[in-house]
Amino acid sequence: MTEMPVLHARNVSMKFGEALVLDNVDVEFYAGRVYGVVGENGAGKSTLMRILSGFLQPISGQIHFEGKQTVLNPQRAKHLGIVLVPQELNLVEPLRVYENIFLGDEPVKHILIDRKAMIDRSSEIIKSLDVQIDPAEPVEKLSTGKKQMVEIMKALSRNVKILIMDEPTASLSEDETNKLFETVRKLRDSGIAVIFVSHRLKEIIQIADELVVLRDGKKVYQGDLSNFSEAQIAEMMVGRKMSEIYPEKPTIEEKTVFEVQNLSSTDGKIKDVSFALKNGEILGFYGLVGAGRTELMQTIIGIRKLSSGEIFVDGKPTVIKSVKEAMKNGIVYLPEERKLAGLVLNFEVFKNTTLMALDKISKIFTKPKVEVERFEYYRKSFDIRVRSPYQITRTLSGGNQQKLVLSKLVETGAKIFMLDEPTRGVDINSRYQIYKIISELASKKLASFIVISSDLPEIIGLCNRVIVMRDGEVVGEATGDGINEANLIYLALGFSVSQDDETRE
Amino acid sequence: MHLRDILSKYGILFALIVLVLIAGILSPAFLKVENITNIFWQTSYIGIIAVGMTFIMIGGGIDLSVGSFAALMGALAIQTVNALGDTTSSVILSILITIAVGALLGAGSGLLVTKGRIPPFVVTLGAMAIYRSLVLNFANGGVYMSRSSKYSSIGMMRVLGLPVPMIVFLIYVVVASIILERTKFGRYVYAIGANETAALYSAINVDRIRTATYVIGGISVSISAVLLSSMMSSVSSSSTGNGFELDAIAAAVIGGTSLSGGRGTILGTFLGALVLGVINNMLVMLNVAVYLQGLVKGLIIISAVFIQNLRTND
Ligand SMILES: Nc1ncnc2c1ncn2[C@@H]1O[C@H](COP(=O)(O)OP(=O)(O)OP(=O)(O)O)[C@@H](O)[C@H]1O
Ligand SMILES: [Mg+2]
Repeated sequence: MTEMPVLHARNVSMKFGEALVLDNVDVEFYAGRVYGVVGENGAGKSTLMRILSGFLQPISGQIHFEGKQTVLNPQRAKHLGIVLVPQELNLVEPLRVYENIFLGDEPVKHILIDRKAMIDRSSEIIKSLDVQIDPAEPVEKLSTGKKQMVEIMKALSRNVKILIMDEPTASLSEDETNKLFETVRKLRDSGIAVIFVSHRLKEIIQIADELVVLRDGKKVYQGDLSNFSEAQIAEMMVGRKMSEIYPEKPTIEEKTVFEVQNLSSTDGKIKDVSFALKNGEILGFYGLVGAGRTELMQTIIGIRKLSSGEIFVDGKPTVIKSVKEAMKNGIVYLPEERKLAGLVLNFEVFKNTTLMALDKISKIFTKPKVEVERFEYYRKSFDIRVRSPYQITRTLSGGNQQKLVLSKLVETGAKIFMLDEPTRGVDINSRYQIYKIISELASKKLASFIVISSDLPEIIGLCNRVIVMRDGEVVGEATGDGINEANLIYLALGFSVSQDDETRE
Repeated sequence: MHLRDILSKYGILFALIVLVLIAGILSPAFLKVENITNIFWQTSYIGIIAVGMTFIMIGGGIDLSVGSFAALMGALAIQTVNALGDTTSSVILSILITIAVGALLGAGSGLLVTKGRIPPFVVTLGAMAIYRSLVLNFANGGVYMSRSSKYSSIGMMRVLGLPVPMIVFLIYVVVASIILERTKFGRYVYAIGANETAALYSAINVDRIRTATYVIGGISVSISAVLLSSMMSSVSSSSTGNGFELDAIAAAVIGGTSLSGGRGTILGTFLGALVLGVINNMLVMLNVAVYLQGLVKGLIIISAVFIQNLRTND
């Protein structure tokens, strides 16, 4: 090609302490193309993205922008039009949507901040993405998916030449993802280079013009992807053949271990929900973002107040007013936002594993040795990639953080797991491992699972039965062959036409 | 390790050593055993309070009331002994009562912060005004004098040649650092300060743990108040405890405790308190004008936080 790349990372290497995280990576990005970047958790994707946007300095190698070597820092990158949407949300929660969009870049009129301009511009961007967000709403009130959209809007409000998005779709609904993709295509057609990191290989195939595969810090492939299947891409990432990703579904016992009857919450987000969970069952909860699935689980574990309804554990009526009481009854919950609610980021990793189960390990004094052993157990069985048990949690890659939260829950010895988006941001290989963990615990009848997921293939591949929610209510249920994409989407959207003959047992 | 990692991890120890060396060079009398003992002694009052403050701050709170709180507890101890008579058992009883009341008042602040959802800054600022006004009111602005020689003797007593306050301080530091760094409770204190939401989702009773840090704060203030009031044989309703909150917070911060919670150690606070003590002592020995001592202290606090930030910013 005679054309020159807009951005070229030349033989870039990066180390954190002793660990070589990027090893002589050489990638080029041309204007008007979409690049899909894939790799296992910890492969170095986020690190590369942060280098490309000036937030990290490589230990060796150079960055060339439009053919000229340059040293990037965040200001310089911004000036050049390189914008990063980071993997972990980075919003100021109490500030309004438009304030967040323009944070650090506020339009000014006669030395004062021009609020009107901010609101107008925000509304335009919101409209172009075709989402339902009030620009004046404080960000903390938004769902995770919407927050992610705000993060993207923040990028779009800048003057972009190169748009880098690190797993932007991890918390988006199908619908939001599609809208984002439309925008991405528009941007590409207007000559912007888009770099897009995702663990959802289907999306990569859908949106990317070119594929970049990282493995253990090395670039193992860059080029065309039109001939690749998901499985082939996965194999490149992992470096070996991948077997079937979903394990066999466990058989269920008749015994009901957990039941909810006519549950409503005081804030009206949950309306008269009833369901039962059988021993060894994996019960999926599907619905559009905002359907109330997260709120339902939070009500069950006592974080939200219930106004009416009853909960039965092993057939016994049980009152749960706090997470602790839930745990005592063998129920644990994996929150959707791991950074905000799942982990203490400045703890050494092993301390997160044992945080909920310290009572089991010790009466008064902590026992770091035992705790480290417990962590080592999960490090092996969950394949958590860390340099040492004393590594600070913040420095783990996203997927490994997720496995760490999971280890914390399993360590409690709970019998009922409520997992809210358990594989968000988790690579295909680790995902397989997580499914295996879930399915093993369920098959051995050691635990039963409620899995909230917006990832349809996951719900379909993993669950014995799926309950669909809409606007805080249960609107349908699917088992067996009824668990298919079309049916679940219909139910979630509210077309309950064929429900009777297809989904009822 | 990078230089700045080393600086931020052991910086406080270096600072202390450098300060001691400078002081020793400028004034050889500084290094005399008696002077060093004196520094420990003088530091112990603030030091004990700073230890309690460390718990509160790591748990994500702050206590601005400690100065007038100490005056109130000192006054309470003195008045109780005066009422009960000059016997060993009445002295012991009074001390226990004082500590119990301190714990209760601490629990009060803690409950207002947690259950009342009032920011700690506001609660303890209010408490500061309330305690001072009570102390002033009952003494009519004057002084609480101890009539018990037994009580007064504690503060000046020496065991194995070491002043009692210093011994209490050292023991307190050891016990507190075991509680904070070796127990489940301590782990939870760090967790609620570093990420309250995650702690909540991890089945930790956030409110109870946070309230407990204020109870420890109250106990610390009471112990310090007993030592101080018995040493002085009195409590001045207008001046005892003035500025304690600043020194206690400063000691914690210099020692690496984060103002936003989740980070800090007792050993750090201990060293931080000693740094302050050494500076005070040095300034006195070098005849620096009393009025300028605040300037030096202020500069030191600011540089301490600056060094901390070197680490957190990357
Ligand atoms: N600040 C840091 N200090 C130490 N190690 C780090 C730091 N940041 C990242 N790492 C390590 O570098 C490696 C690569 O991390 P990176 O976040 O780039 O992975 P990733 O490919 O984005 O993974 P994921 O898919 O899980 O997001 C990981 O092993 C991680 O633990
Ligand atoms: Mg990443």
